[in-house]
Amino acid sequence: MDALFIEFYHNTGFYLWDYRYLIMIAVGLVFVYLGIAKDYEPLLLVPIGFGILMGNIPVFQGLGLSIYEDNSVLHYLYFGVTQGIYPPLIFLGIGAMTDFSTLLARPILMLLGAAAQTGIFITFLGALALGFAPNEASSIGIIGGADGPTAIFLTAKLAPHLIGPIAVAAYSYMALVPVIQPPIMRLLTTRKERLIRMEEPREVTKREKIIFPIVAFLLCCFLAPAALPLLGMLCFGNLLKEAVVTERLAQTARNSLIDTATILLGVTVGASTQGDIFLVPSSIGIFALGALSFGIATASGVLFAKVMNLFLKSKINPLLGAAGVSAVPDSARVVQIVGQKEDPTNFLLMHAMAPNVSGVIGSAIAAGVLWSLMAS
Amino acid sequence: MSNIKEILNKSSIFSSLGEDDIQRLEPFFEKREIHPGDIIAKADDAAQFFFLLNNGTVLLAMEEGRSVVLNTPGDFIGLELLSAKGVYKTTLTVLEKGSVFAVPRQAFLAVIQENSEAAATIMASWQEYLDKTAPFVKIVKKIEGISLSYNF
Amino acid sequence: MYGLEAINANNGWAISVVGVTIVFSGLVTLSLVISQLYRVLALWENPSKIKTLFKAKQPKNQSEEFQEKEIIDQAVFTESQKEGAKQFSLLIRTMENHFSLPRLLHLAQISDLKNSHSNLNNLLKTNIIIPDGSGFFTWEKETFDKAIL
Repeated sequence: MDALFIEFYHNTGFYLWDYRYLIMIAVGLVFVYLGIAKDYEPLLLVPIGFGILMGNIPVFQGLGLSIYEDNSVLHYLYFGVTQGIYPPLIFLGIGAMTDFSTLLARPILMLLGAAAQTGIFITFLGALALGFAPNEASSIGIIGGADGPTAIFLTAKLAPHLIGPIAVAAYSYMALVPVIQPPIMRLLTTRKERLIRMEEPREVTKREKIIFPIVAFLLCCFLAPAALPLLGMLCFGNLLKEAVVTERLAQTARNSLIDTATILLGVTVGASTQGDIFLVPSSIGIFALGALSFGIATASGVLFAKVMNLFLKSKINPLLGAAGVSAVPDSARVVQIVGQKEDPTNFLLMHAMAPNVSGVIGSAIAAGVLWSLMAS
Repeated sequence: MSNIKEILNKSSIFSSLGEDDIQRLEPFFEKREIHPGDIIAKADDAAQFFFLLNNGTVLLAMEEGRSVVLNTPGDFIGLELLSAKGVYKTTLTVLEKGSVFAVPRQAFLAVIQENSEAAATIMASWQEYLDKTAPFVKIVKKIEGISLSYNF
Repeated sequence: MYGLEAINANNGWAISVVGVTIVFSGLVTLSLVISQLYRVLALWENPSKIKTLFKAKQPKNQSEEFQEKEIIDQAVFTESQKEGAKQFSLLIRTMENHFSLPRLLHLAQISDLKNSHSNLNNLLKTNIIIPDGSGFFTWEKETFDKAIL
């Protein structure tokens, strides 16, 4: 009987534990805490945080418990991540909940969404310089797109072994948008620039809204076909929303479908951060480069807006450039908050939504470009 | 308008009750001033009161982002408490200054439990009221598979 | 291999330049196309627009006039209320056509709109925001334009 107890004890987490699991459990708890108590991206941080707890229970091999064992339940669920299935489903939902009318009203703001993607490519160079392979560097750079599903999708295609740290870095920085962005925005703008008021946009017709996803899809995917899974689903979701006659499908896409995909993606990505695999020096490099990427993306957007102002008659508030990173709608809200600190009656939120949603398109194109360049 | 009797008579829920029932309920109602921004009930909080609107405007927020604006004197809020295990299922935010009559949950339940005829009348009127003000509530219930058709 | 050597060896500069160029080309083209889209649609829709112009000249019947007057009578906004209403109109543009009223109120509060509750109430009372019958609300642009602009 003693032998049985000892054998059982040897299979428990108390025997198999390792300090790395404990560190990751602490990280998971911080995520859950930030999500619940601080309301930082709770819909993402809570599933990922709990997933981290699930992935860091020390288990013995062979029973099919770890996400990295072929016959485990978590492994099957993780299939949707490694094969890039969940991100397009999430994009379908995002499309079904996004209103592109501010972008349609002032298309020039789309350039800010493009400028912010510069951060991706600068970080790509940084990652190469630090010794990462080109496919890994691409996946690290995309963190600056501030788009979790896109980062996961590209990493699944190019560097599946980095999904854990990249996803955790991407979502951590997205949750920290209100902390990371404002200092950069204030540093790069003068008070006078932050006080700039935007012109009221024109009214957008329903027909424009219906045509937009079709035109955007055809145009962008002809240019960067590798963006098809993400942009195709994004535009399809938006068409469902705007077409009205498909409201039932849009409802499903923006509610149950996106929620299901987010839960599965969050939990399995969290569970993939098993301490012994996750806590390696390259993860620290990824986190550092991720922060850099995010910072450069924000700065690129702001600086590009200032450059545009040199040529525009009707000036753009350069704070809007920060919304070019596609953390929707948080970075747009940050623009609103920073702008209102200077002038409480200046209302930038709606204008910031334009670069914000174009950032989603921009980061999907960037992911498609990197994927096709790496594949070739 | 501040007389509780007048309000009870005006309320579509209570107007169908007999004079005796109204007289029994009357002492339990306590008038409270409400101001824009006040949250008089919060979803998932322990519920102590039902509310009867005297004047002003109240936003009643339900699940899934749905809501109803209540601004008719006599609008009644909180009947879901009969089934919701003592917690509010909706959040009530005041949009316009006015007043409500609050009646303690226990006292109200005691009255209608003692008088099944009054309870049935209230429930029937409640159903009618819901059909008029928030027909979608039944749809929500159907989707969620909950048998009761009231969700306020 | 590290530093510039690694970047050069992996063709990093070229990949970055090509990448940034493609992203910019895509979004610039898209912005050019959509900036002209409404003009194309306006032309397409022109015949019907002409018809509506003629229709607008026809005398309104009595009940229409009465309803319009009633709405405008209700919609006597002070300057600060007008400002609040305009801010709400901007917020609503970031939402769906059939929007959640509690969500709108929440957005107004986190955006620090002054007197958000009272201003929202004004919009409800003047039928600028109306219920859609399914628990959500819609924005009546015409009523808003008449009362506020």
